[in-house]
Amino acid sequence: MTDKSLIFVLDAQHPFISSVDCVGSIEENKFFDALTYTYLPLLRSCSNLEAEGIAFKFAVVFSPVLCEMFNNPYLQLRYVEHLDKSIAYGQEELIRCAHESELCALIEKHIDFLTTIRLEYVEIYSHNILAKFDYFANHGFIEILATTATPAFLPMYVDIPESISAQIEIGLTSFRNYFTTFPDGFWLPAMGYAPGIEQHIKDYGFKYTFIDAHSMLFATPSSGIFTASATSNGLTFFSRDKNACLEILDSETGFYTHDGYLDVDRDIGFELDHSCLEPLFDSALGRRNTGFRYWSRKENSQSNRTPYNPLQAKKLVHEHATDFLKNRITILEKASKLLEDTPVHSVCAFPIQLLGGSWFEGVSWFESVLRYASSNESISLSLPKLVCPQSFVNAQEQLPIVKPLHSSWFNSGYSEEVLNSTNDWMYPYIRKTLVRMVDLASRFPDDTGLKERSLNMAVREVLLAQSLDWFLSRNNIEDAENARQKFEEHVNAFTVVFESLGSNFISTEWLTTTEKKHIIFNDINYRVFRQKQ
Amino acid sequence: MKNMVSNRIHLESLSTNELIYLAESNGIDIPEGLNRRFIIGELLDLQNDFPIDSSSDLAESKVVPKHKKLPLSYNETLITALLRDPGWIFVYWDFHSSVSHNTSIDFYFLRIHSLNKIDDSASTSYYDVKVGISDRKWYVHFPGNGYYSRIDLYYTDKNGKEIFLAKTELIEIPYSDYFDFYHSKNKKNSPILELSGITELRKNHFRNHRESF
Repeated sequence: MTDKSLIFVLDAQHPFISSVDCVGSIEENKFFDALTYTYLPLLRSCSNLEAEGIAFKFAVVFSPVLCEMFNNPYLQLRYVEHLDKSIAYGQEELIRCAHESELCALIEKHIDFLTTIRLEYVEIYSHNILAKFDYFANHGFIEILATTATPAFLPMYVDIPESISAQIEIGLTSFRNYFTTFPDGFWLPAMGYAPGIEQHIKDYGFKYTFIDAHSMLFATPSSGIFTASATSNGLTFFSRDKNACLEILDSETGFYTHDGYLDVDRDIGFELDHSCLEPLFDSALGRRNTGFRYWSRKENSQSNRTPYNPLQAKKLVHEHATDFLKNRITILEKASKLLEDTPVHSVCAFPIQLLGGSWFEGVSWFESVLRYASSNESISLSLPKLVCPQSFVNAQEQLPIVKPLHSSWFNSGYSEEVLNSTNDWMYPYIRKTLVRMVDLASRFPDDTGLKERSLNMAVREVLLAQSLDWFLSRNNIEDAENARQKFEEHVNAFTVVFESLGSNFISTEWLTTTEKKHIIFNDINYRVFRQKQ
Repeated sequence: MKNMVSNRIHLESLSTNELIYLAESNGIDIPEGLNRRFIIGELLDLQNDFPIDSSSDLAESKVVPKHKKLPLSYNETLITALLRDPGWIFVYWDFHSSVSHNTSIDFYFLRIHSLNKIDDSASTSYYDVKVGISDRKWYVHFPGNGYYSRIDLYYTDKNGKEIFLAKTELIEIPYSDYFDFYHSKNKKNSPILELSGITELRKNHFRNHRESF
């Protein structure tokens, strides 16, 4: 066992979709794609590694919103229907492409892939993939971190402390509903940190969190990113190794941009005539990925495209996995020497949807890295909770004290992506809504019955409105309108409850309809928004 | 008639559209253009006629709320600042109708303070930015000569007198010795910081946030 560790942290988030009014929508399709190309293949990789006796390790954080969607029986049923449609469509694709043997080989491979996915989802996991992740957590392979109830960018709300406490508390309650391990670590959505947030995290018993490299490196003093530090209240901070992540993620030089990988954007869903796509989806709801993709990323003209070659891609995966590990070993050996053989680590944190989403071969790459690392004596895989467990007790006495800077993992390093001219109009509304929610929790401290039900509904709406998916989507023209509608819907729903509590009457028809649309956090308690004494 | 659980403070915090909706839901006919003070008065009178029973649950309403546009104003004078990055602060504000209907106002302006300490009486410097009557948001540049900022909302009346309206909470501005690019570019970093990527980070930071230097 070496004292040079590689810690992976995969951030699993997805925008909330209503199982009622998103049937057949692009948003629903994206969620199903995430299951098909990321989560189920990742579980299969974990099972393969376990079966081979390989002691892999990585950390993962599941957004409570995502957990609720995984657990939603309507979405579970529709996912299986979606897979069945795709598998059946594969047969039609074989007929359409009968004259192109290379494409037929790819289509058959894809049909086999989907059939296996369906078998695993229905027969092996019984629609409950979180249970399997929990199994791997209980057996020491993975560490599941807790996070906020919805992916809120917390630096925007530090002056409304009740909102931060509520996000953490509801997130923790949700964690306990789905997982049997106890979370030592807390994940900040988008690694959004501002001074003061550490106190909230510590108050709920968490021992550590993660920040981006510049937050640590620009702090004075700084001890670098290869060892943990702590704030004066004893919360331990791990810094992301940005350079390591850029090897994977960079939009120009990241592994996934290589020519030989599958071009995930050249999907027949955007190329074929609407009439050909009818068996798969209602094109009136918008074109979307179908999973039937046949071309590599190599730049060619539309009429002269390079067919995807799975064998060549597999070789690339091996090459990129080996390169990645070699680079980590080189850096960590240097770090270890500089720090006089102190145990060092490299934290690679990134959105899980890169694996299988933007990068079709991403899960295979990840499995290869885990496999090669486990047999390499120069580096070991680790979990955050294993890296410096003794230091978690009185961390401020054992680790260097640091005052991290306001930061995020966005390209800007700060808040520009969630605060610019496309989305700044949202902040007066969401912040007013939060202030009102705190007021409601104070004015109605012990209510029951319809009032309690309404107040709980209000909490759901305010949490969903805080989701940074709506703020980020405003940067993208295609998603902007959907994001605006969703945000307004949540703020309006909250306002209806607020006004109803002021007037002492409410439409139960509206309340029931809205509850059915936003089936999330069934055991929510609006009192989490009360001002703490 | 339905019971109401509300008081003047609560009602004054509602937008005019929200007040009209509340009144109409309680069967009060609101003529177009009625001043909101009178709507609040009507609602409070209704409450006096039907004493509040705060222990009661919500009553059923047959009126199903329709989708509404978000209000343009919450009818309160306040100003809020949110940090975007070390160089820029986003500010938004709102006015109570008593301010927005005040005909003695010549123009509004923001006063951006730099402070060294968390005690906000010690402003090291400030500058003013004139804003339009209909403006409700602005991005202000933090001049970088302090650790905190506060933005005040003022108006100047037609006699030239400056009247204070509201102020933001203190904003802590991220600060690092490395942000002083020109003075720190020859600074010798420890080898572990170099290995961590500090040099490339500083260059990127200067490229993306040079206004904060």
